Amino acid sequence: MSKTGQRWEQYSALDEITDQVNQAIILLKKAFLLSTEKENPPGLAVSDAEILFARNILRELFRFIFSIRQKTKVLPYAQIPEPAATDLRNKLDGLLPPRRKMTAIEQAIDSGEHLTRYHFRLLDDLITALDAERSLVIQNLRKPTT
Amino acid sequence: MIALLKGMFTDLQNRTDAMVNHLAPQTMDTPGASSFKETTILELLWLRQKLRSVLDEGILDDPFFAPNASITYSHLEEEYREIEQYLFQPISRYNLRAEGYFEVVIHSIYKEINFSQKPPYVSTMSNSDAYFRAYPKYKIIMLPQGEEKHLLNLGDLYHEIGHLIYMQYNTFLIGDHLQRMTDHYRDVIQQHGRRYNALKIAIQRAKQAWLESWSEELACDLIATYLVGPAYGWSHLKICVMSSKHNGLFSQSNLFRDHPPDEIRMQVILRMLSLIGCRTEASEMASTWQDLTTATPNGKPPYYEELFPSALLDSIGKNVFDGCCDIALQSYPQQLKTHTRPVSRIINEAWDKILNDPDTSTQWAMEQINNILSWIS
Repeated sequence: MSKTGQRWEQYSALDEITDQVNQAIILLKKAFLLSTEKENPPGLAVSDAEILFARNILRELFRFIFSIRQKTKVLPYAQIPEPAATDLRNKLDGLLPPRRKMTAIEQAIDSGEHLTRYHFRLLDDLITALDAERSLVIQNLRKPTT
Repeated sequence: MIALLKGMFTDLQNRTDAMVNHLAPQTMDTPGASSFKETTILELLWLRQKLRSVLDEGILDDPFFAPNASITYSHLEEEYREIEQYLFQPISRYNLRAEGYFEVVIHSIYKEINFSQKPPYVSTMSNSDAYFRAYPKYKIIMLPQGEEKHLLNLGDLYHEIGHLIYMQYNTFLIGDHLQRMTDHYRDVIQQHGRRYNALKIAIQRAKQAWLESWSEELACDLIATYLVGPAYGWSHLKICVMSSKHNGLFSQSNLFRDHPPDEIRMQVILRMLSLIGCRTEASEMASTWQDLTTATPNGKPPYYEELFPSALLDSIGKNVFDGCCDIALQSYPQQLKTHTRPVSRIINEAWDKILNDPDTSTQWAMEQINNILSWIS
């Protein structure tokens, strides 16, 4: 495959992943506020199923990013073709906060513990890096094919 | 920050509403345009629903969500811009004598070439600089404003149709070309590369270019030639005359751009003309090409021969020819047998006229265009 097909598929996958991860962070932030704050904005609600879904989304993202270090063979996000997947992993790996900080989030998510504001700051850094990459791809792609 | 974001979401929702309100009462004269208008409105309404749900879910009232709300906004704003550029603007500019005319042309072409996909919407919102362009995601082809008054460039419409065919059938069309390309470059490196670092770098960039765009662009040239025959070659020669003036026939100054060099494109066009049986025309065109390269000598970038060996051009030409036959596309000679006066024939006649009898060609072209316009029921 080439420009039309491959690049669009790559962008669609990246767009979907970015949106899902961003939504997952929003859901976990909602859960955090609802459990820690007495007064919350109207409309703020989240179900247990949504929290579970959000945790799974983030777990999958961590597996994707850290697969280089762990040399995992079976990777999530199979919809992103190689070499684009490796390229994306390398970029995110370089942009991320140190691994030990991310490990703390991974452990909290795995054990079902509540995340802290500190964890959310790290997650915001992560989603910002992911979104910057997505934005770069779409800027190149939005040029029509001549 | 959070108040600003809330305002931005509200503003984007208002802009989306304004587009829907602008389009909804408009009546389109042709069915393809009506369908494109419906698609545009549906995309706008879907976007509006996403904006509304963010405004309602409470995240725009707490700064804790600001980074995420800003990412969501950038997604939706990009979607808005894309809809505006490739759906809203083209359908807003609908004109029966331009877009309506091309709707008839593209529907006729799709029947003549036996391609069963829904034909794209053709808009005349481009210009001579941006030229013919396709945006496959929304199935739209954009031509220069005023193109409905001319016939000669319409061969290039088949190249853009090629992108839509390629989107569906890319693996059938290029077959084992990428593997052959990889094998060839591996052999070249084994023979020379260890001593020539610059060659290895050029090969690396060429492999990337083949993967990302060259295979598709050459496939579209080949599909266009298969479908419209010599007229596509003449159109390409016209482009070559322009590029030869700035030393561009072999892409000397910018080899690794989206399109392969014009000379390589010419070579595959000639191959396809022979494959579909237009050997006389291929020979005439090859002779004109020789004259052009003699009249305007252009330089070649380093390692040109290693990057574009004849065998690789043969294989992609043959693969695309076989692919077109396998998906039952009707070649130009086949269309001449199955249709009395296909669009491809009119375009080829237009080239015959301009090359052999230019004085009467303008009047002749207007008669053909008026005849096509009369097909609009």
